[in-house]
Amino acid sequence: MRRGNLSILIFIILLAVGVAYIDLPNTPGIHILGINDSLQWKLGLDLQGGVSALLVPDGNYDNQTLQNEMPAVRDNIAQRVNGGLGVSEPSIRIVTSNGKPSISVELPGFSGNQTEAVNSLLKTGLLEFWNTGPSPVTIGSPFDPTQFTQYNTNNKPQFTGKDLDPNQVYVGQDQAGLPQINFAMKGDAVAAFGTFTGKNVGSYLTVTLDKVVIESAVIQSAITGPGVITGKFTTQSAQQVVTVLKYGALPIALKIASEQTIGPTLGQDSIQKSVLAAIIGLSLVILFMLLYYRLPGLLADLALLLYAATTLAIFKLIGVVLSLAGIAGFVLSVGMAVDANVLIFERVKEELRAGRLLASAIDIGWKRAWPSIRDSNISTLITCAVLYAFGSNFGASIIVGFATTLFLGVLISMFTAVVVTRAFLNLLVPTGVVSHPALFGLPAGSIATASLARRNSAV
Amino acid sequence: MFNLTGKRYLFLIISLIVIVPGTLSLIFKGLNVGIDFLGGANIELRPEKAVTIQQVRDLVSPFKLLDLQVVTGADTQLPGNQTIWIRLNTRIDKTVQTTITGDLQAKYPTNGNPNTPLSVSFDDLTLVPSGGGNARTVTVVTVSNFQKGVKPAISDIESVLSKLPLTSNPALGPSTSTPTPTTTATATATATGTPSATATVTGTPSATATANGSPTATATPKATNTPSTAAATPTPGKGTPSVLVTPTATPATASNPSNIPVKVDDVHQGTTTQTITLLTRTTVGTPALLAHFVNSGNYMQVLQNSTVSGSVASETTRNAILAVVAAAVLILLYISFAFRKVAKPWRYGTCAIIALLHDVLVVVGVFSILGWLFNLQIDALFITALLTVVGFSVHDTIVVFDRIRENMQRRTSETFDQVVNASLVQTMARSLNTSLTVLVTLSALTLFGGETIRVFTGALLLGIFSGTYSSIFNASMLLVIWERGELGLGRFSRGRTPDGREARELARSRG
Repeated sequence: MRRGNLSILIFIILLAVGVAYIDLPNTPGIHILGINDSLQWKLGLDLQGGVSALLVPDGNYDNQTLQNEMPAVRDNIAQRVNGGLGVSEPSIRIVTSNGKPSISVELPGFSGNQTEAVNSLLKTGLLEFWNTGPSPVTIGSPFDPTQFTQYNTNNKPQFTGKDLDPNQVYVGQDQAGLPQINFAMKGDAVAAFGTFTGKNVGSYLTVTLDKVVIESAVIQSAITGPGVITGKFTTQSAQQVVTVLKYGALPIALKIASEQTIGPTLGQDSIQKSVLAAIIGLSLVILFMLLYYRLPGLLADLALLLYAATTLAIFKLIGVVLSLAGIAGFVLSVGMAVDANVLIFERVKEELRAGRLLASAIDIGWKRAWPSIRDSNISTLITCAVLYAFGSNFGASIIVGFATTLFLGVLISMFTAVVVTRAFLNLLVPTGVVSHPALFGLPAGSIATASLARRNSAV
Repeated sequence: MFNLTGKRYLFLIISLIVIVPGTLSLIFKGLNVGIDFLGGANIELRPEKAVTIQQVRDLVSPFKLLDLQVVTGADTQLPGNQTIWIRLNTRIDKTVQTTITGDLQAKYPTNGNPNTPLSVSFDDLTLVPSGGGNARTVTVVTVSNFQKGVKPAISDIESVLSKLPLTSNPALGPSTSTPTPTTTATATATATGTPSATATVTGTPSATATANGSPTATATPKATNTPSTAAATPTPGKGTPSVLVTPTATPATASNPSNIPVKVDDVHQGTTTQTITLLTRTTVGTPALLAHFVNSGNYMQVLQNSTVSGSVASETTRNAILAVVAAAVLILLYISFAFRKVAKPWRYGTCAIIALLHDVLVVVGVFSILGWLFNLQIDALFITALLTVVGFSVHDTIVVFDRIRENMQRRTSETFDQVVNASLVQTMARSLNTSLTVLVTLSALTLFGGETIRVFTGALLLGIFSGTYSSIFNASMLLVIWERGELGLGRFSRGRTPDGREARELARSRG
C-alpha cells in the first residue's frame, strides 16, 4: 500500500515538474524527437488580435453558384483552420459587397509568416492521380494533362481527392525519417486503384495538387491497400496538404483580396479585469475548501493547483487558443473540479462520524463515493463525445472546441481528485500527525480511537 | 429530518413559475440574438491619423450602431500608406470629375504597372458648418493607391488642381447625403434621402437621380422663391429612409447651369497604415458615414462597406440542438445501464433528462424575457454556456440518484419517499458545496470580468443554479411522483408496488 502510494507520489512530482516546465511563460519549448514546439500561448482575437484577410472568388463563377457554395466554403475553411480539435477560435464570415459574396477570415495570434498561413488555407485542395506513362514529371512543376492524353481518357485524372478516405490520410515518415503522406482509397476506389496500379506496373503515377505536381513515382506493384505520397515535403507542408485533403476540396477557388494585421478587440483594462476576476474566483474556491474541509481541503487545493497546471499545459500542447470566454470556462472548470473531492470528503466525514477509524473511513468513503463520481463523469464524457461527433461531422467548430476542452477537463479532474488527493491522504495518515479531529473539520473527540472503532465495527 | 419529498408539488410549482413565462416568451418573442447569429455590416475605414478604439466609438456614437465591435489593424498589402482627401467648394459634375481624375493620374502615373492605377473617388456630402449656418453640399475627392515609394504632397495636389473648369448644375450630380446620421436596422443599404426637403422646394421635386449619378430627368423648378437648403437636412429620427433620392435643387444654379467655379477648399493627407473595422448589426450608408467624418474633422476613407453573415452558421445552432438530443438519448441508456440493480432503472434516466430539459428551458426562457425587457442580446458564447449547463445538469442529478441507488439497496425497510428524502438530505452538503464553489467563481467573473463575457457567465450562473435546484427538487421529486403513480404517471408503471419494496428486494436478489 505505502509502496504504491510512494510511486504515485513520485509520478505526481514528475508530472508537476513537467507541466511547470510547459506552463512557464518563458519556457524554452520542446525540441526533441522531431517535435518542435516553442510552447507559446496562443491568445484569441479578442485578447491579442491576429491577421485578417478577405478572400474573394478567383475565376468566373455566376452569382447563383457563389451564393449556394459560399457556406460550404466557409465551413471547409473553418475546418482547415481548426484541424480536428476545433480549438483555434477563428472568426470566419461571409461578406457580401455589391451582391458578390466573399469570405472574411480572422486568425488569432499570428506571429510567423502570415501570407503563408493564409495561402495554405486557400489551396483549393484538388488532388489528382494521373498516369504519365514511362516519363516522370518534375515535382513542383505545373501539370498539363494534354501531354499525357494517351494514358488518361478524355484528359481526366485516374483518381481524385474525392476517392480518398479522409480518416486514413495522415502524415507519416519514410525509412529515412522524411515526412510522407499516407493515404487509402475508399469505397469502389479501393478495388479500382488496385486494378489500375496492377495494370500499369512500370508506369509513372503522378500526383498533382491544384494542378501542381507533388509526386511522380514508378508503380512497383499493384497497390491494393494503403499507399504513400513521398514527394518532397517538410513536416509542415505535409501537414498542410493532409489538412487540405482531409476536409476535401474547396468548391470555389479563392484568392486574397486584402490582408491586414488586426489588434485585439478588447482593451487591456478589460483583460486585466477578467484576470483579476479569475484570480478572485480561484482564491475563493481554495479558501473555501481550506476552511470547510481543513486538512483534506488543503490537499485538495494542492490537487486543484495540479489540475489547473496540467490543464493549461495540455491546452498549450494541443494549441488551444485562449479567448476571454475560454479563460472563463477554464476558471469554471476549476470550480467544478473540486466536486469529486467534495463528494469524497463528505463521505469520509460521514464514515468518521459513524465511528470508523481514520484510515478505514478514508478507504470506505472513497469506495462509496466512487460510483457517483464515475457515473456522473461518464455521462459528461458521453455528452462530450456526442457533441464532438456532431460538431466535426457538420463543420461546427464552436461545438467541437467546447467538447474537446470539456473532455480533457473532466479526465484531468478525475485524475487529480481521485488519484492525487488520495495518495496525499494515504501518505499522511499512517504518520499519525493528522489524527486531530479539527483537521477534518469535526468536533473534538469525534475521530474514533482504535479500540472504540473496533467496538463499533463489531456492532 | 427535513421532509423534502412531502413538499414536492411546491418545488415543481416554483419551477413552473419560471419556466412557463420563459417558454411563452420563447414561443412568442423568440430569442434576442446578436450579430454572431444575424450578421450585419462590415465597414472598413482608413483614418487620416491613427486613432484609438475609444475615439472611433465616440466618433460613430451618433449612428447608434447596434452590437458595435471595433477592431483596429494595419494593412499589410495596400501599397503606400497615404490617402489624400480633397474637399471642394461645391458639388461637381461628371466633366469636372473626369478632369480631376485625369490631372491626378497624370501627376502620379502608374510607372508601367497598369494593375494599380491611382484610385480617385468622388462623394457628394452635405456639410453643416461647425459654427452653424446653412448646410451645403460639396464634393469630397478621395485619392488613394499611390505607387510604392511615391510621397504625395499637399502643395503638389493643390497646384495640380489649381485650375479647374466650371461645373454645371451640381443638383444633377450624384445622390445627396446628410450629415445627420440616419440609420436603418435592416440589411438593405439605403441612400439617406431627404424627403422633408421636398416640402419647401415649392412642390416640384421632379428630378430623380439614378445610381450612377446621371439624371434621367432634369429638375424643373417652376417657382423662383428660394427653398432653404438647410431643409435638406432631415430631422434625426423621423426621416424615413427613402430609396428615391431627391436632389436639392437651388434656383441659382438651376438657372445658371454651368457657371460655378470649382476650387479646392481643403486637403488632408493620411499619415497612417491603420485600418479600422467596424462590425455592427446596423447598416449605414457610406455617404452618411463620410459626411459625418468630414463634418467632425476626422477624415476617413471607407475602404469597404458590406454586409456580413453571422459567425455562427445557422446550421450550427440546429446541430447543437440535435447533438444535445442525441446525447440525452445516450445518457438515458447509460443511466439505465448504471442503475440496472435497482427497480425500473430507466425511470432514473428519464427523470435526469427531464431535469436537463428544465435547466435548458430556464436559461433560454429567462434570456428570452431579458431579451425584450432589457434588450439583452445573446452571442455565440451562449451556445457554449448552454452546452456547459447540459453537462453540469446531468452530472449533478446523477450524484443525487447515486445516493438513492445506494440507499435503496441498504434501507429496504423504508418507503420510497423516505429513501429519496434521506438521500437528498445526505447529499445536500455536497450539492450545495459544489454549486457554491462554482457559483462563487462565476459570480466573480460576472461581477468583475469584462463586459463581453457577461452574457456567457450570466447564462452559466443561471443554468448552474437551476441545475442544482432541479437535481434536488425536481428530478428526485419526479421519481417519487412516478413511483406513487401521481399526476397520471401511474399508467407508466406496470405492476407498481406501493412502496417499491418488493421490487427492490427482487432487484437485490437479481443483483
